[in-house]
Amino acid sequence: MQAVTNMGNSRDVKDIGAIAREHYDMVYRFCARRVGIDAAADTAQETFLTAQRALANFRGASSLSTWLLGIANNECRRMSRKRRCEPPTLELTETGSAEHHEETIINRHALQQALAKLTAEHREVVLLHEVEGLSYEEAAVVLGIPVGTVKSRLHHAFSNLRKSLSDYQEGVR
Amino acid sequence: MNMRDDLKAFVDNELSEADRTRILKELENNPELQAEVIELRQMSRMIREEAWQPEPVGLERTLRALDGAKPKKPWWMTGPLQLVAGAACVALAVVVFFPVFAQSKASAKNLAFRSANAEAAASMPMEDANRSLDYDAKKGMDSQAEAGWGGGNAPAAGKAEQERFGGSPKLRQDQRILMSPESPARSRGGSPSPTPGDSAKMQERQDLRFQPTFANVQLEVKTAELAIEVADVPKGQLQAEAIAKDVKGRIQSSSKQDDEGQVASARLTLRVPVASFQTAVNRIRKLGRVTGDTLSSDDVTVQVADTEARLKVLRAEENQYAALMKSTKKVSEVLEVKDKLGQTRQEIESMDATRKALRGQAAESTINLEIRAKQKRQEPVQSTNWSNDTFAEAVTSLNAVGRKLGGGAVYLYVFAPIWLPVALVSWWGFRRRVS
Repeated sequence: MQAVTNMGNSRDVKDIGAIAREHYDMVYRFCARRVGIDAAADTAQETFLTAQRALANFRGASSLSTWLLGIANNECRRMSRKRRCEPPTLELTETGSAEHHEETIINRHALQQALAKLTAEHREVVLLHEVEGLSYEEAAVVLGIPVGTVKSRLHHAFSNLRKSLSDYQEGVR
Repeated sequence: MNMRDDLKAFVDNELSEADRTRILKELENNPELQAEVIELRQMSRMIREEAWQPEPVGLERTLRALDGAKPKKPWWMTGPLQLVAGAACVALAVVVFFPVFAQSKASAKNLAFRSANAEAAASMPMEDANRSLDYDAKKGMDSQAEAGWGGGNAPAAGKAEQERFGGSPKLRQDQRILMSPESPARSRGGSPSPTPGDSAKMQERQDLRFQPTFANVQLEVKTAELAIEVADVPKGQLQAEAIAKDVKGRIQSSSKQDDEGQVASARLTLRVPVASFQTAVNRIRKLGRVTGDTLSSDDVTVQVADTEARLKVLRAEENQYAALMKSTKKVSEVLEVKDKLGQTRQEIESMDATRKALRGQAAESTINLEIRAKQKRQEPVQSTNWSNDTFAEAVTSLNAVGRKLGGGAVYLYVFAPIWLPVALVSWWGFRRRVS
């Protein structure tokens, strides 16, 4: 954001370099979670090349990170169509912290399986809100949908997760 | 709204204050709802904290790509397409602006031609100026757009003179002798001191020189072609003739055509004064239903001005030949001068007749009137054989469509040198962009 604020109206190639340095990690991780690690670097690069071309049209209506994630979201969809593959599931780390294991009543393995069962639309909102930390409004801007739809999708996504977890626990018993 | 629908938004702190208070009140007395909130919070925290965090790679490569990538031009502004677009713009500019440029250039030449005539008249000797005015006016009428006109110097006037007198040195010499205000004896070597008679002639020519070449009054030959339908043709004819007389005009010709004892149509040629032309036409239009109405106008101002200027010069020549006749003693010279005088008088009569004819045409306008009887319209007969008619119409339509398509194909073929290269280059650019 700082890069754009300082740039004023004269955004050029040098500025997009500063923006890339500041936001590359966020964009790369988002792309890796959406299209897989193999295509993440290419997709992130395409995201910044597109942003370079469109930078003159950026009016600051949303934050720079939201704007970049919106471009990245479109690039990920394009990449998925190009590779003709399903987007990967939302993965959790292999080794969670021991502290959380003790505190939580949720089985991590069960949650991983429940996340895998989410539809692509639900997975998108969970990723943007829970993992990327975007608010409902920001997630709506990135996906190009109303805020109410984000709220509804999140509600249904977590309802499905709870149901999956409940089924898992009953199965264990 | 169901309380549970808002639980996730409550956990994420995305609710309004009123909704949040409402849910908090409900939570106080509902342990099941409390458990659900705790479960949602734990799921949310686990996803957030234990989400897979891939190690970013490729930043340097992206930065290099950003440095190397210049702002991309539209595909139609790159490579050969840019040249094609530029050439097309230039061609368009030439097509649009050249006619305007040519028109303004012709107007400028016309203006220069007129002003140069005035300058030449002021700077040339009297005879040369008169001849040049006469000749230039004629030449100017024929081709005003021709460049280099003006005759603002003596050589140009000399050249004009040479062309006027047919290029014969002998004849040119004779003409110079005749046109000179001096006597032949003086012109062969005498001093050019003017006599009182010469001064009078010079004054006459001075007046002639400053006579405007183009008349200020516009002379137009106006013609109207009218066709009207009336209930009673003889009555309409009488009314038209009365109108012509009312406006102090005359009936040049009149004819009738009969059909089974009834007057079917009549043709009249009326000549009316120019000032009353429009009045007469308007009144004739009111006689019946106008089925044909054409007004045309032929500007003869230039022709009249040209004829009158030539006439004045010829009359001056005639006077000089007559004066020469009196002073000439030798028989051979008398015969030669007499012959020239006769030729000049013939030309004068011809010119005068032309001038009078033109002025006469311009003084009166012509109305060609055709009066026809109204015909009862026959109702179209409904055809009983509709299927054959429809089939014939369909065949005719198919034929027309085929002709249109064929015509379009011919146009495409003929214009192929224009659109085909553009289409090929555009396709090549499109393929390149896609690849």
